[in-house]
Amino acid sequence: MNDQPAALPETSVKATLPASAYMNSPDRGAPPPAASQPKPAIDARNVNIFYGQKHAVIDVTLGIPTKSVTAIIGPSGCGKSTFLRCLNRLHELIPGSRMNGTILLNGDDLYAPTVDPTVVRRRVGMVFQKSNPFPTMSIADNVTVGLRLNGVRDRAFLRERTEDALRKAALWDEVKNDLGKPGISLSGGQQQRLCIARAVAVQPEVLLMDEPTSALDPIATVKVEELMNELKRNFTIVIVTHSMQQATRVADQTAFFYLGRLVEYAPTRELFNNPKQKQTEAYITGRFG
Amino acid sequence: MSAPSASKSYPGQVSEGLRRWRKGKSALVTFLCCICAVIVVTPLALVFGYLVFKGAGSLNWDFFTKLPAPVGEVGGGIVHAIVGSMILVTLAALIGVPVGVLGALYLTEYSGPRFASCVRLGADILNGVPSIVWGIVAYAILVLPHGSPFSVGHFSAIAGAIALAFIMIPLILRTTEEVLLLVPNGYREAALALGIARWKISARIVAKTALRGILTGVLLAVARVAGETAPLLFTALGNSGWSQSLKEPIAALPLQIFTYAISPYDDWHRQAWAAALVLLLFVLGLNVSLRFFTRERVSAQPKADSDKPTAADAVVATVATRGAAVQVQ
Repeated sequence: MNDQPAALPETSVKATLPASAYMNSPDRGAPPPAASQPKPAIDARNVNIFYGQKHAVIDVTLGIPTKSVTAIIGPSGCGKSTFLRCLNRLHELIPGSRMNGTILLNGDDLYAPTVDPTVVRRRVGMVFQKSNPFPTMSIADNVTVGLRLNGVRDRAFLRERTEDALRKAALWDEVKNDLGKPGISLSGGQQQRLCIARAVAVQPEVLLMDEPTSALDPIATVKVEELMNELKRNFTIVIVTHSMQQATRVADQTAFFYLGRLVEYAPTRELFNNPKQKQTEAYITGRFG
Repeated sequence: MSAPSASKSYPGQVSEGLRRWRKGKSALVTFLCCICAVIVVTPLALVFGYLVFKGAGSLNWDFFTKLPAPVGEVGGGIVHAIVGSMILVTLAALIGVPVGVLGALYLTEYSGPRFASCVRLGADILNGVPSIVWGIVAYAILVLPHGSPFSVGHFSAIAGAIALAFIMIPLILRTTEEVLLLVPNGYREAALALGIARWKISARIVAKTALRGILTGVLLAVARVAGETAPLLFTALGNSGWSQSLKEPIAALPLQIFTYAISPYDDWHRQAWAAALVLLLFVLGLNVSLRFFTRERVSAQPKADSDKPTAADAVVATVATRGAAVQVQ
């Protein structure tokens, strides 16, 4: 896991990403060159996060394999959402938050001083607990907003990307005749898939999902879970979930956080069938949390 | 309930007489509250009715298209004052709207909480400053010769517009700030997570989401300053004819009403009533059209939860409430 050298200057994240970068990257989703030991997409080392005096995440080291679903579970307040949000540098918007440690995204240090957080967020997309399509925009505009507000003007390209993203989010067949309708006219489950399409449209390398189904009914939940299975062919997915059943259904590997620490991290089947740590066992058998 | 009574009794049971007394009290207080609610709107009906009674007869084509007749002659109009008011309010809005809206955007999207609360307090204090004070200040700075480096040296439309703009700014700042704060944070986070630049999120997503609320606030501020007289007395002064330049005194409806009302001529009194009616109709029209344009469009109703108020609804409701408070001031 640690076989790669420290990030070289030329591999660090470019400070600016021209609009054309989106158009000339048709195969960002292609699998990486075959290797015996695939490099992790995200390599977090000794990550500590503080909110003022509170030490929310304590010395977490975690490698997230590329093109797979990684679930983070744990009781409320265990730091799992905080950790997720530091992967796209969203946590730093909260006044008083500090972070130390290293997070590499495909080899690039996300916290290098020269890195613009905006660029990080283009590479690491996010879907939130509550679906939040922009109320002033149509379905199509919601999908392409990340591209349009970053300078992409080419209408044909935007149309193509709209369809592609909506197909990837398994929403195309339901909305293809209503692309001009407001995004908030969709049902709750559809809105969440629209948000997934919106995140997918900028073609990030990693997709973070913060309890994406906790506000959805069971049928919509199943759809989103099926979708994750599809999406992991193209994206590395990290999902925070309160539902252990969901973790077993969707995740290839699962990390258990407790009181800010990473207690155990293993392939999902192993973690649930044969937990190595007592705390993990207590949590998954429902003795606390 | 010390001793159990013979009849069926339960805790809280009261005698028939006490029950009647309570019901009577309740009805009386409810009635008094209702009267108070009616008193709130009565002046509007009275003022409007009286203005129509006194002024409607003088409204005619000449009134809207002609300059005043020479003193002593009957007839003529106040077209110069109508146009002058439009010029003053437009200029004031050109200055006041950008400052108010952009200032509010800074407070909600960028500044720290301490600075924001200082500015908020300042704006609230400014909103309470009597408009005549604005007039005197503008007079001292912009009208008095050698009053300041910015002074025009005499009464002018510019000085009037600036005085009005300074009344508008805190009003617009506060209403805009409140509607921006109503925009759910989820939208900002979602946009940030897409890698969109901060200023674009502020302008294209946050401000756009709150646009109807912002417009409502702006129009209410316009309606408020359109009727201001005191600051214009010290700045725009008024003009009995067309104003040739923004550096000259200019006529305005409130000033015209003032001039005509204190004059000794019956015909001018008549025209003052008519001008007051025009002014009231303008403010009323602005408010009514505001309601019309900011109502929820049926086609844009979300299908999933159409009965729940949207963020935009809350925005409009808040501004309307604030606006009502402002109008009373």
